[in-house]
Amino acid sequence: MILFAFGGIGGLVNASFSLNRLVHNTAWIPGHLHLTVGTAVTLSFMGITYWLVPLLRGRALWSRRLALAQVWSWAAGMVIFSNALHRLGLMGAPRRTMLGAAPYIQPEWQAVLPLVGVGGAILTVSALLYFLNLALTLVASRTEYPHGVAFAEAMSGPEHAPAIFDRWRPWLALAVVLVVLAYGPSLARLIASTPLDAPGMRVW
Amino acid sequence: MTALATTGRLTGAYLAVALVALLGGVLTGLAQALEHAGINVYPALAPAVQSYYHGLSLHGVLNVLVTCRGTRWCRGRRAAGCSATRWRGRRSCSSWCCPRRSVFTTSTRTPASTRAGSSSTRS
Repeated sequence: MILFAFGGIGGLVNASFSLNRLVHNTAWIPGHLHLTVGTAVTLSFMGITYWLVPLLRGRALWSRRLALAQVWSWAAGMVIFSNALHRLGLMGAPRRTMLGAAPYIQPEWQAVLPLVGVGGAILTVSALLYFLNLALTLVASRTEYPHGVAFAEAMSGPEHAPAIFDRWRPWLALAVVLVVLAYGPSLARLIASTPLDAPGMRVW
Repeated sequence: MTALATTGRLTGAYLAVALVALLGGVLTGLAQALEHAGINVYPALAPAVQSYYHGLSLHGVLNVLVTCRGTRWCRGRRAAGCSATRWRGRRSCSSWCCPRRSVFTTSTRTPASTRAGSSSTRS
């Protein structure tokens, strides 16, 4: 989530029309993606499997400390990897390009390119630790997992809900009201202020 | 085999596919990162990965499409399995993942008596 914040900050650059012209199709973009999908989403999924695989297997996770080390090494590797890609992007290095074979490689890229490899290697080691922990959980863990999913109880069931909520009409009416509130003022201003008498264009 | 055990096996199958894909995505990613650092491993990877761009496509497809979809489907299946069991009036969803043991063995859940009382007032 810490790295996701930086992914969000970089995302503002991508979403901005003028700033995006600087980073469009550069290594900045994979740098950004690896913070959002490659860290926030991936670590979430890894956390889920650290919980779900023991549940499915009925055995405790092989090593909790190894799992923590794996998560932090993933974060550390991604800081190096993604920072390098962001910097390369700002210096104009293109994305999805075999840069090692590029004849136009710039001298200032040379100092940063090895960091991509270093970060990638740390990430790979982290991923292998992840697979190792899951595999050992499946085959080597002998501790019974204290299974059972903690489940939130609804305070009231559907039988307590007002019957009007089961009808389409109030929901559709509410949706129409909200749409009019949200888009109405803008549409009204556009209709009122847009000149509708622009002359046609002669294209031939 | 009960429906709950089947759900557990299905979840495990989704996870297995997702994790195998993730391993492929990780290895192709390493090859790309090393290439940027000046270490070209692609000659050693042929014919499985024939070029940088072949590996690039594999990296994206395996990680984003297969792994993310697989893990999400698996989560969806799991949630569906749990709610289905609850609507059928069973006590807990924990039995699907470990059918051999009885439910309500840990203190994380509502005591069975409370729950039995609330369900009787509903009916």
